[in-house]
Amino acid sequence: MKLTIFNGSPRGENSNTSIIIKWLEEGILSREGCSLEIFRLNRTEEHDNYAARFGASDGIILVFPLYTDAMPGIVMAFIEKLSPWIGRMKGKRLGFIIHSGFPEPAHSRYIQRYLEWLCSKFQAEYAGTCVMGGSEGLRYMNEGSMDNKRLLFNRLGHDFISRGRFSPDTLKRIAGKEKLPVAMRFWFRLTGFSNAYWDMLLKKNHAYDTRFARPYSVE
Amino acid sequence: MKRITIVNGIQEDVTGFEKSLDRMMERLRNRMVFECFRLREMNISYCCGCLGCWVKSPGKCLYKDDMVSILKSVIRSDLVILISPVVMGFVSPLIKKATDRFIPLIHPYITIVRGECHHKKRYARYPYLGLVLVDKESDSMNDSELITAVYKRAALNLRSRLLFTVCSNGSTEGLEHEIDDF
Repeated sequence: MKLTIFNGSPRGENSNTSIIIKWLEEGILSREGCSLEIFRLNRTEEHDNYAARFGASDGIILVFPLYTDAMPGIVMAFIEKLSPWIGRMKGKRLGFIIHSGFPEPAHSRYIQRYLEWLCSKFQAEYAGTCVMGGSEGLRYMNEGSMDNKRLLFNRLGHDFISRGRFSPDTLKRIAGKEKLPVAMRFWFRLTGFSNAYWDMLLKKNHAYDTRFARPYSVE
Repeated sequence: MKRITIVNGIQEDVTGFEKSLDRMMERLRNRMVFECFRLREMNISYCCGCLGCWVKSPGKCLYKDDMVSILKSVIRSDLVILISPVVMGFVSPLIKKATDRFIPLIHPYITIVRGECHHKKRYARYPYLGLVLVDKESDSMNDSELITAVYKRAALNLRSRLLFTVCSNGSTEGLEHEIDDF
């Protein structure tokens, strides 16, 4: 099986997407008889070449961060290049992974519907869409605290290779609760605790005092 | 007078929509102020996800390209109309690239809106959004529902609302009808 993973992060190598792909890779390479290639879509000058690789693969996983409720611009530019493969991907397997900074997976479900539709246009076998929330800052976390997520993505990679699709159980465990529990909403509103991450970065950059700036308004 | 910003993401005007658009703006110019941006002729980089606009120079993108003029126009307008062809069942990469670059307009802080996490406002008010999908084949208009669902969400995250999606095969009749009573 010839497997290709596309990294759809504009941040490229130094991205949360890369970490997820590394975890997937661990699950995939545990199985023999499978070749794996990984391409970074932030190298937009390579998109024609990558589009050819897309069509020549048996299995494809596209991983991207949620940008304004959909795929990043570079990923849409790549999808445009895939038009020759519409209706020509029979028997090939296509899966997606969307991660977002928002804690709830609900934000990513809208673009997921589009990805399902796109997969049907290719006439590829739909392996599923994995959605993970709370990904911003993943790359700053220490490895130990991420062991649980890492194992789940190992399993997701293994699911894809062994069964040709993501298992519903793994998807559910990665996604967690679809919406914030009411108690948590209340807590959020009361404390704004997720803002601590932004405050830390703002202070580090000596930008905390200007955090409410409105530079684009014409007063 | 209402201010309307038009963000035109047409890659190649095969339907003649742009000519109709010019005529429409001419007809309405006593009542509305239009600012029109043709993305294909502008120098705009893809958002690189550095989040500098949130944590380094709050509210300001680190890129000094043509997007700055669009953002200034967007934040002072009453309505932003996104014009896009249907590309692989979605909006054009040009429109996606431009709307990704809207994030300096909001604040990184999170707040609860309708039971969900959304970003806080940076500005006091935000324009409404409208979407025009231009395609010469009318059957691809079946895709408009999926696109609308996503852009309703994008509008919500811009602390705004998507007022309409209009499908056009080159005429601006539907669009004019929508903005007439805006």
